[in-house]
Amino acid sequence: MRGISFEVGAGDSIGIVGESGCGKSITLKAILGLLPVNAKVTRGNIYVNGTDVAGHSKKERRALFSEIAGMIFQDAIAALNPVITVGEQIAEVPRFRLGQSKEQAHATALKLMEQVGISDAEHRFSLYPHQLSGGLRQRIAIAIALSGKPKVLFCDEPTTALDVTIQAQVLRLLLELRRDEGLGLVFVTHDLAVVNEICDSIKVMYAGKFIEVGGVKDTFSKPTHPYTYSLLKAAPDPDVAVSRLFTIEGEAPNLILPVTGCPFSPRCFASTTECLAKEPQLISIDGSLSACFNGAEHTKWKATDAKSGAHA
Amino acid sequence: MKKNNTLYIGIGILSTLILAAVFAPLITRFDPVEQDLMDTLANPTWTHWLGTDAFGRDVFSRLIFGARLDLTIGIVAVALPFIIGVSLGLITGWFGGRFDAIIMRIVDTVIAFPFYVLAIALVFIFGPGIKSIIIAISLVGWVAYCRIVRANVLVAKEQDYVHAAKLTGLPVSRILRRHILPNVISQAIVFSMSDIVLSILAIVSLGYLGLGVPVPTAEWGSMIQEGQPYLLQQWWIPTIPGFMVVIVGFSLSLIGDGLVKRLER
Amino acid sequence: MSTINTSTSPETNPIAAKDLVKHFAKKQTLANRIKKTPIFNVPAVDGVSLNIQTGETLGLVGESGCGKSTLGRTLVGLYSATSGSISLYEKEVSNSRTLEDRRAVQMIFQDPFSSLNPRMTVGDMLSEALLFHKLVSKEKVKVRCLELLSLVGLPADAVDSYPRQFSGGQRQRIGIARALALEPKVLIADEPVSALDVSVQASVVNLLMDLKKDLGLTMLFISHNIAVVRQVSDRIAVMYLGRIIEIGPTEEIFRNPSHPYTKLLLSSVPKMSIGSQISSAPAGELPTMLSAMTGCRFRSRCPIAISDCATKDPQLVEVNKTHQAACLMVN
Repeated sequence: MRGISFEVGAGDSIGIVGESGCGKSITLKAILGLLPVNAKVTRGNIYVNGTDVAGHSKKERRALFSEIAGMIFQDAIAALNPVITVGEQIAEVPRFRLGQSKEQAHATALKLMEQVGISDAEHRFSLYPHQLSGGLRQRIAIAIALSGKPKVLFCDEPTTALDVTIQAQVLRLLLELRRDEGLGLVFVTHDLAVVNEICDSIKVMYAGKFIEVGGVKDTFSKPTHPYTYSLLKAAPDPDVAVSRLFTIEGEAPNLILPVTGCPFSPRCFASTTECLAKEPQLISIDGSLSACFNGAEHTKWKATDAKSGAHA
Repeated sequence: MKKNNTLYIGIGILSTLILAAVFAPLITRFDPVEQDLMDTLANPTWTHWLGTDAFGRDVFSRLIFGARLDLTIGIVAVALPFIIGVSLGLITGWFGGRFDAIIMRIVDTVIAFPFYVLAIALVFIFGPGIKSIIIAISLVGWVAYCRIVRANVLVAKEQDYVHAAKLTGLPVSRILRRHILPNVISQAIVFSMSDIVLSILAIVSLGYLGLGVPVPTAEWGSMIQEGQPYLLQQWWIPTIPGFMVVIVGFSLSLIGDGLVKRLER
Repeated sequence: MSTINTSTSPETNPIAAKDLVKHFAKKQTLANRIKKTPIFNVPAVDGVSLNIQTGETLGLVGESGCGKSTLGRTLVGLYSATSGSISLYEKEVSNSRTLEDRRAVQMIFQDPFSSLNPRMTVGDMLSEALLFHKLVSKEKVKVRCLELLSLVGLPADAVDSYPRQFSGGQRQRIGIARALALEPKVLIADEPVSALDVSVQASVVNLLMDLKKDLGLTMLFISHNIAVVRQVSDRIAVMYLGRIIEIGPTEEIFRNPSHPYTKLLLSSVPKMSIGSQISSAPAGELPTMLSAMTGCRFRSRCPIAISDCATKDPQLVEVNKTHQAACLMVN
């Protein structure tokens, strides 16, 4: 991560988009204090309800976060304990942190299971994770995340491994939770279409930084960064067949090496000499933020690209 | 690429020992079995670098010539189980079925068997000597390789590149040889390093029990046994051969670790 | 099951299947054998008939457990069919395939990391196939390898490199080169881009579309990604629980989906159009006890199921001349 800043307010739905290696998963883990042993936050602040927790130990930070945040991961089977029944896993936080008795926690768990749309909750309470399908497991994971009464749900590719119909169910559930409980969502994914459908704002990540930040509708209709533009055109649209998809030549930079200039410039069809020398910061362009020296000219380079006919 | 010091240090130590063993007659002028009853249990001097044993034989010379025997048997005694075990592992892993079931039950039986009991029994049948030791080790040693390779074959045969090889129409022998074998053998090779140590230990132990090579031949195990009564005065006679085993074991484990790093690339 | 003759006569079809069934027998323990419990079969492919025409790309979509991967692997010959027939240009190959037959159908695999032998160079991989089938002489084989590499957009020095030196997208290209080396009549692509990033996915899809145009490839494109399938396919077949429940030209299927499951599937796909919102959330999950089902397998989740659906198992019927769906409510 090379400088990430954002805020999550109550009821916000934020999508963080990027391809593999851009740092989006690490961002979530860094915020929540779940980084692996060889990773460290070296600079910056993390404010939880106004308190800066970056300086606190990982344990303290996790304790503070557990009161306001829940997290769900991509692979539910890895996130669930295989030797404890799913019901007990949902009841764990109410019982051991919220101080409920065993019976109370059981009841809370059942309510949560119903809330996330698990039918036959009484019976399924005593099942083990491997006895459930992928979609159900992800719902259990959501129930566990909700059991701590969070204000924000952090999601790391939660539906990538699910079938498209099950994904629709889970996404619908998240939207309902947001509508009914005012739950905030921070949704990390590589799938632009999902962000389009459930997020209000989008942050596009590349090489450890946000390179475009804005409202979903604005960004999708008027991207001001060439990477966002390229990504939107590369993603196949289920509603339209084109003769050729947009491709982005080259590969994302290896972040072990120091970055000079704009990290996207080697692959950028609109790059100029300035881009190789200095790294652009996020500046305001047409109502959103974009880290591009040529962001203001986005109509120009889009027109050039359309003319070149490289992509229909 | 990052330097693989472990591997090189291990190879360095082992090659020194092997070279010393190979060039033994050039390093020492004493015959390892030549006795000098006028000069028994001598302390180390410039003539006899490690002194002499109870029969006046030069200890250093016996050590170096003993290395010949122990290192050779150690390596040879692993080669046969390696070949048998890897081949059986390939076949059982690939074909499965009843043959696999039978072999695996045999493997389970052999593993359950205490090795030294078997070795002693075989030595009684075939008489003491190098041949019995090698037979004993081979009869028991192949099972580990079989298991390791079989497990890796079971994984490898589900890989898509093996499916692609099948789709090309390649015969099974070719698939096993070019696609499966290179991808399953690295664990077996690494294991063989520690197996050599175990074999040398077995030989030395059998030698210590008097079931090893015949008496006057220099061998670390028999040196330890013969030197045992003199442990308190001429302590070096029984301890230094033991120490040689430690050095060999250490160098082989360094090679093993180094190989793991190298093969995991 | 009625055969579907979509247009031209079967003789021109490079590959066709009729009533194809593939079951996987669950392993029986010794106790089960003694008790003589009936063998429980998981019917992955449960009666599929289709044919692919020369130069056509048939897209095969469905969710996990529908059997599309199994169908692909049975067609290509990795699995033997439990019953039914597979034919290549009218030649029956379901029981045994000659070397020529094997050459005629090749596969592109999903996982770029397990589809290439880590201990072989790219050149070795390609040469092995070429030389084994005697497609070129030993002297000419290197030249041919370079030709194949340039066909898939890889540089010449790739020929002496190992798979680990390449990215996911490049590995998929190598896999495509390997499949094309044998000059197959039919390519079966099993989720070829699902493991790739969006931008890389786009370049591999473009490559496949180019190859299709330049080489006249006949392809079965299996994917769970509806958007990608729309790009590359001429016709689409939708699978559910081992059966094809709808088949027709791509645009027709997207504009006029007839089977309730197809409608469900298409409406669940998140869209890229501005302001699109998650629409109706489909109900229910896949049924678990398949063997106990009678009638239509989709009825537990179907919004328009009627009483007949519980007793009659729908076959594919015509929606129009090129489009079939297996639903009692069609027309």
